[in-house]
Amino acid sequence: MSFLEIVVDEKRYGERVVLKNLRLGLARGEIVSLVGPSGCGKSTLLSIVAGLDKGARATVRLEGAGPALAGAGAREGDAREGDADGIGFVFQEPRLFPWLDVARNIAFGSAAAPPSAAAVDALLAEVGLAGYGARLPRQLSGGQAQRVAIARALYTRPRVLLLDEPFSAVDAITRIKLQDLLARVARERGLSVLLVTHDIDEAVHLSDRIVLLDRQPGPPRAEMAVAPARPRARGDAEAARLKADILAMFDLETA
Amino acid sequence: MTARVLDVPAAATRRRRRGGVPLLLILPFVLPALLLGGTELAVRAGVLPANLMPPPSEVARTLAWLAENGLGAHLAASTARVAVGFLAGAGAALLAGALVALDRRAAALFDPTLQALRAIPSLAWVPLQLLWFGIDELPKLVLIAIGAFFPVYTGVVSGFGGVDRKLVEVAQLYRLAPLALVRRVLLPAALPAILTGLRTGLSLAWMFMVAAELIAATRGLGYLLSDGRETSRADIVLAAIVLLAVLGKLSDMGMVALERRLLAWRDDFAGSRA
Repeated sequence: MSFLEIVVDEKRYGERVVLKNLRLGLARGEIVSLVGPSGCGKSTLLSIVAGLDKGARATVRLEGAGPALAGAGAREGDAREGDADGIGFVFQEPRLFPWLDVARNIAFGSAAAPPSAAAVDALLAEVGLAGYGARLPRQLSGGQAQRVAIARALYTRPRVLLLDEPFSAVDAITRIKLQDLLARVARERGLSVLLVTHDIDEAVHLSDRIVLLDRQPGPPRAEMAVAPARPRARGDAEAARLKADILAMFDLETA
Repeated sequence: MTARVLDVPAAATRRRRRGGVPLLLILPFVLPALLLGGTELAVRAGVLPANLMPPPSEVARTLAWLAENGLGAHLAASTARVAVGFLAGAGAALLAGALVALDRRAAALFDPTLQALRAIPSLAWVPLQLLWFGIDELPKLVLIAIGAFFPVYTGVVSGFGGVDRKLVEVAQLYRLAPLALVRRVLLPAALPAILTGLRTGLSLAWMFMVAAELIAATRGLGYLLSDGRETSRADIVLAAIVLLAVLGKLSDMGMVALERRLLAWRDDFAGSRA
């Protein structure tokens, strides 16, 4: 059994089935990218794992977390405030609270008030924003705001990090920097990462395994291991071959 | 760096210095000065009848005279009525608005009725109140409270209703309890709309205070207004109007200061208000 075990029997929006008979396991410290066409349910899958989607017939098990992580409302009873079940989430947008300064945004998941200043400072340094604690979100660039969002996700010391197209809204250079940050943080903390992305380069560069989802609900269309060890050089030959394979697979569909 | 680049700010400075006091600081006073000066001259020249339109200088003298003859009691009575009526109306609106915004069953129960009541011009309640409560202090306060209630209620409901679902999702991620969700996310996010509602409510409270005091009062600025009319003292009426303007402006400035303090985080705030 995997470290993180996700089984979605069915998830529908009204009459429309978006996910069906989908099983996905993550090993400890493994980075898995979910790639697929828009509307294939990638983001919905992340919401289910994070417990944001209570309407799915699904089970999510995290090793050592007990059955509290079974999705579909079962987790509500035994949840405590500030407890994200060992799971951190980074959205497509930073989603910072505009009325809180950076430090308070990072410590948002803390039930303790006041939150630990030392922990916040350490996280700020870790994401490369030392000294930014007193700034307001509106004073940050898009890339800086997303760094704060990553720090907030890390504050509750999660073992799993879920990211929903986290770098799709920033410019190319910033995206590379943020990808490097994610790779470093995941490696240093031994995080299991589930990354939803549209960017094949990003998937190939960052992940140990790439899962391709189809528009048709069902088991993954394909799974492929990315062989070169992390950290990986950009432009690695084997990674380039893999990218070509994946693109070919999508071309069949769009041709 | 070249001299040409340095020249640009220097030229700008020179231009401003030549202009003396910035024009934008003078402009607001131009129309009031013209109106007051024009009235004064027109009355003195006999163009306007002094008994109906007393010159500004006489209104100023009346104000000075009133200040030594019981003006404090009038001001205190009116201000106290506005304060109590506004606090009661706004407080009830905050509670009702939060309840309706946060609980779908409460919304179904209360909101249609409140929206129907809102459609009634508040002054229409006056005769009924006179029948029920007489001409005492209570009907005045109730009328002011009704006036303040609806803008605040609308502000609270639209404020909570407009909270970004994406931010709420972040709170759900951290399993915030309902009360913590309200305190830490919904209330701060709804605050701009709530404060706008409070500001409108306060100005309506002043309006309804005047209406209440015009109907029946023995003290207050509204009483001064009706007393001035009954004794054909236009100078007293105008003096009361000036005082209402000053008090209304002062209380509004207080609300704006509160907004500035509470909403300093807003991106658009600094530039949006004069």
